[in-house]
Amino acid sequence: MNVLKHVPVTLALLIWAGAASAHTGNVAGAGFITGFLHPVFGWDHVAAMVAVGLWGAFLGRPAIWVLPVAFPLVMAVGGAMGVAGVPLPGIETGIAASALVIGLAVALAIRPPIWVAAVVVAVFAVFHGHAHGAEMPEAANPLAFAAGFVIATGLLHLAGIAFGLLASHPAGRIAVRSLGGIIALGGVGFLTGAL
Amino acid sequence: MKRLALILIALPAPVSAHAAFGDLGPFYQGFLHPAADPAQGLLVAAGAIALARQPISTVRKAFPALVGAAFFTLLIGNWFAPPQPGVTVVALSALFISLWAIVPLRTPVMIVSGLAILLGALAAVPLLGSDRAGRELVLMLFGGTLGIAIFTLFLWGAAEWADRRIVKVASAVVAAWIAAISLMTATLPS
Repeated sequence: MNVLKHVPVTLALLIWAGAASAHTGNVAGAGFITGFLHPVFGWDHVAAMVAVGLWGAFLGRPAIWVLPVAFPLVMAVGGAMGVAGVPLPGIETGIAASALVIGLAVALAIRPPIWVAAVVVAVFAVFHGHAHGAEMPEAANPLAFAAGFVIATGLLHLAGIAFGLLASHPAGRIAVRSLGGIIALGGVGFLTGAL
Repeated sequence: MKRLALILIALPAPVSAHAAFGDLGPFYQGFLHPAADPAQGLLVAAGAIALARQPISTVRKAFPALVGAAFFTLLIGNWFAPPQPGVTVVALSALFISLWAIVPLRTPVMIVSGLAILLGALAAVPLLGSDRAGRELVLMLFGGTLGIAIFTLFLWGAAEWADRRIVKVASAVVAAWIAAISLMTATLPS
């Protein structure tokens, strides 16, 4: 009973206590998380990345792995341009257009030759890379920031591929093409500024 | 007494017991350097993925070459100070190795072993120049060599497993990610 008397006071003091900052983390952690969240919290990036994975899965081999390999490599070129401060006009338009074009390709079940698909994806990858790369030098740890956004981009591709694998079933094919249509509509929204 | 305890609870100072990377001692400093230095981690990861893309018979020769190169670099390099590779050099090396890993080329064992030797040496060089001697030198030597060997082996194993169990090109996709990170890192202003 005597102990219980002090419980409210102790609880109140614990609540008022300042936050302990033993593990402040290092700059590498902060850079990685920031980089990781950069594409994840940008709906235009998410839509385009998932669309790349969807299209790769929809086209089947070898596109299913050529596109997710080609995209980060070319994105890095755009990223390097952003880091170096090389200007690229129409970045936001290019990113929005990527969701529209690749989403439409999935929705309309367009099956171009693999090199055409790779070029389309690569062109848009430059815009995405530039958007990420331009912010890279400002990050606490640029290398960790780069690792974060490259891995997040890759995981979004994998998410698209995983969903795109449903296309092997008739009902799944409708679902995949519908998602492509939704992404294309999202692209229109990004282009017009409605989203 | 209770009042004093309550006052002490009410006035907590920020705890700073655990510095992110304090002086871990020569063994753990050497052992953890591929994880503590992101550029070094990138290089070791690129090397491990590249090895995973080669046949196991090649890896059996190249992996000991890599570990041996790291050991002898630490041993010999302690007596003279070789130039430290900058982040750009390390990133470009990781870029070259990861691009090589993406392309499914069956490279001759001699070339793979040669690249493994260069990789082992490059991964070990940042540990040099710390003026260690005696027991500290021995601990750093074994810690550094073991760290490079274990990190490479772990990542190689993970890539091998992913290639066999998930999809055959999983390691090529990861190599593309490493190449992308390396390229952007190489362009960063020093």
